[in-house]
Amino acid sequence: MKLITVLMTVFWLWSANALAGETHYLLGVDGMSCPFCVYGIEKRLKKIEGVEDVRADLAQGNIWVEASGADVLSEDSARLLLEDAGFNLRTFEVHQPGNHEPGKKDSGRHE
Amino acid sequence: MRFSPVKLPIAFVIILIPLSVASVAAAPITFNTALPVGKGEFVNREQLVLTRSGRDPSGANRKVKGNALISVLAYGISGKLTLFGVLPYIDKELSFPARGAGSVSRASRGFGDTSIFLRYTLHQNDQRGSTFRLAAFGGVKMPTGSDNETDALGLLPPALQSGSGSWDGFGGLVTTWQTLGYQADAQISYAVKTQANNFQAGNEARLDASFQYRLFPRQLQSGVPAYVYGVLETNFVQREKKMLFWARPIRIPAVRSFFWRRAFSTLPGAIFSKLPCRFL
Repeated sequence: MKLITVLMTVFWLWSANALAGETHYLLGVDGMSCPFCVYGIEKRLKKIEGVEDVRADLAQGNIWVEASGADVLSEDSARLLLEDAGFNLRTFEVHQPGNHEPGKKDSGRHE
Repeated sequence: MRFSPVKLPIAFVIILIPLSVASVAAAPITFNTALPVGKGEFVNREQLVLTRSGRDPSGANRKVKGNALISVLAYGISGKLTLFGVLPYIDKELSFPARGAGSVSRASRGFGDTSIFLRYTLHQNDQRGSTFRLAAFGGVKMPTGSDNETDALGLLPPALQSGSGSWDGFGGLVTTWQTLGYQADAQISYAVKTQANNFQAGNEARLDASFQYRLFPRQLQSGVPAYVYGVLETNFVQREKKMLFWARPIRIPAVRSFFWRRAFSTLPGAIFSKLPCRFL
């Protein structure tokens, strides 16, 4: 009985997540060389409607954005947002539930 | 009783307290960086500079003490163009032994001259975890500080006044190389001084370089904790000799020289960086 309850909870959490249409974005950012850079970018990303969480890996120059729903962030809007913050978008990836092949794009260098 | 501007070797003890919302974790002591301020973002930096004189080479045993709180506010007009405003609050004191009077002290306190300037990023080369930037800047220093303060001995000398009384222009180039662990900055600049109160400070050319190294924490952590950077800065200043003018309308230069004074200094310091203020 206990096992069934646990399995049902896991299923419910999985289905709720899937129904919510959660999308993960991975932004490769060049020029992000201090934690305060991240803070500035985080602030801008969190102002976007649908963005729920933002995490960063400074050493790799990556920012993960967790959003509810699809099309919260496009490559162009991400590039513009980073340029306004003074940085460059290196790569842009979209990870959606049920899609195990992330849509990866190399954004090249933008000066 | 008039005194010539004080020319003493100065020893600096400096504490920096930047409060930033952009990419400025560390910064030079006496000049700017080329790091970006995001469009629509503000950066506020508060800098406390404590100055104490060393030995007086003239033998007059003069002592100079200065405390300054320098407030810098920057606004990102775009990702490349930033507007800066600098307002210092200055507390200066000159003391020297006087015959039969023990020690004489002359002091001033108040807001100094305000500087406003624009900085534009000319070149940026961004990599993973590092950035190289080159920016041009130019602006004016406005005479907002008091330049006619007096004490019981009369008008204070220009070097002791909170303000210069003159409108000065300045410009130059600044470059920054920032990585996750350290930052290096260099600047070349020129300032044009104008006359005020029958006195004109000489034009000034500067070469500055600064190196900052993160001392604490040694390992980068998630979030934005506080940081301590050690900083070593060196400055080369070439200054045109000061000019004194007779009273108007004659305005004949009494002392005029095309020779330059050169000064070379190295400043150690520490920088403490933390999260921004809430109101920003």
